[in-house]
Amino acid sequence: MSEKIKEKFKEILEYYDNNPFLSLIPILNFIQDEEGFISEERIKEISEFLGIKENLIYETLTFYHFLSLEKKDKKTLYICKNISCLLEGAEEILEYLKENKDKLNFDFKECECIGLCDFAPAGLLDFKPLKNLSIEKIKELNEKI
Amino acid sequence: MKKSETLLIKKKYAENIDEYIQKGGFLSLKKVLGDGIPPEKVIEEVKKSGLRGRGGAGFPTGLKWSFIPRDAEKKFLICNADEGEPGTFKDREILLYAPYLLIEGIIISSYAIQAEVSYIYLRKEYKWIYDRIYKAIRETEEIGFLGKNILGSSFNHRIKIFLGAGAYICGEETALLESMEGKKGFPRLKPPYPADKGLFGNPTVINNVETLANIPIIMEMGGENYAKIGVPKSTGTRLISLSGIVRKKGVFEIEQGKITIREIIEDLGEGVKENYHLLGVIPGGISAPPLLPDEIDITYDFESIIEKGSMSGSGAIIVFGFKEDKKNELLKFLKSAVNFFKEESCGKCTPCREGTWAINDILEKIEKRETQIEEGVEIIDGLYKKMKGLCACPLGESCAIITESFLKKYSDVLNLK
Ligand code: SF4
Ligand code: FES
Repeated sequence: MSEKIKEKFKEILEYYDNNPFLSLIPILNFIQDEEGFISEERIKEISEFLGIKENLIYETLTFYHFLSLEKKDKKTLYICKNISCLLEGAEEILEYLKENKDKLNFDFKECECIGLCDFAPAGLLDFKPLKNLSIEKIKELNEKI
Repeated sequence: MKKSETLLIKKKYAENIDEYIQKGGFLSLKKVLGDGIPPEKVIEEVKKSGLRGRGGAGFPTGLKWSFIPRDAEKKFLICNADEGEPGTFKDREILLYAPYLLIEGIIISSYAIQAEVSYIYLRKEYKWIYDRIYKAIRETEEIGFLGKNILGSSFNHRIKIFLGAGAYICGEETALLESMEGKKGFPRLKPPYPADKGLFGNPTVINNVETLANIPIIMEMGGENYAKIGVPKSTGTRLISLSGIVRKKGVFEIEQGKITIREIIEDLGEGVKENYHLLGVIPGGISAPPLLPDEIDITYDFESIIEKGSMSGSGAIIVFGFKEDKKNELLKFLKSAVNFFKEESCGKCTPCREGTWAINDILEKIEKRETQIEEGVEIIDGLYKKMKGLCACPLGESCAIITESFLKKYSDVLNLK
């Protein structure tokens, strides 16, 4: 484990009053956001650091949408396909993404309501909001990444 | 009070702590801690206010607090900022624009139950708001309203933020607790209730963001005065997330029981968009059965909506409809709703885990015309009876209820194809 990661682990544990269980999801979130997935190696390290059995860590992390065991080379764009976004054309956007999969510089995933229904259709990239999406905007985004 | 949108909470929107103080912020905290109002008095005041939880269930807040055993050594308060009910985004507004009001509410509420530590459980989808709240907490610490011996009292308090990792079910309070304990978000069987055995076995109160934001206001005007706003069983204001086919979407604050759903759509939402045909309204997030256009002349409050067979839930109004020639998109719409429940069922209880898939299958069969709508309704009704009261949380039931309701109310539209 690099010094930087170890420092961050300690910082998180301290913030949560040295409670390893309370710190588990925050630590998983940190690794996920930092590295894009959670590797076997990291799970071992987390297990050792927090003193929580590996199988319990697996059980937790496979439950949540935004934690992943799978290594990804590209960023993931989340597109909401729930009711308010559907009413504003989320489907067309998803269709466009599916058709142009090979040309995209990012991965995309459908997701449920992200609390941006007043800016539908909406999405998240790096957990930053993308509001009032359109195919135009997706094209622009693709060039920028 | 007017039907305007700047009533109680919106008046306290502030960019920074100075602006908040200028707007009378922290006066309630000063009153409570500075004057040494005993915790029981605070609970009493909140009971008098008639405040009901704004997260979905509408449980009386003061009563919830009073279940916390006085003598327990460690207690926690958790602010539930995991609004995931599709169509809901009103807590986002408080988190972004009134974080100080929320913080003040958290401190007073924690004092009322004598909790030294509180957590804000923030949904991962709102990670972009994390820094905003973190900063607001820091600012509050810096002026001494958080920390040790707040305002010279013997009360100490710290607020920490806990970021979720993506799971609708964690908005359910016991699933939220499991999640904070590092586990998957399976709702717990109740009893015991969180007030007895909550976070790590300690008495815990879990309140929604908007609920907590109301606390400083109640302490400022007094419970009795607060109860005069709104109607007897639905006091105070409500933040409405308005979305769908209206011209103006967004968060509006309304006085409960004083404005009808139609007025909300017409006056606040500026009406249905051009060329769109109003098919109905979901009055409280996707778990609430739809209301037909001729059912929306009811005032927005807990009871009126229940009387119509739906609920105000999370305060999310989704106005739906299509362009004239696209009515049969309704099924797609309903399928997306059912898919939501199917995806978000945590899997703990068999009737829900399997039932949500079965409902999904029925809709597919209806779409392919292999099943008649009436037949579908019957099957779903059977499934509902197997879920009702037999599951750890209402998710599965909600899926059955709304599907049945949609199929019954819109059988003509769904038969259009
Ligand atoms: S009813 Fe469904 S979502 Fe709720 S606990 Fe059971 S399986 Fe999980
Ligand atoms: S329905 Fe798409 S953000 Fe809420």
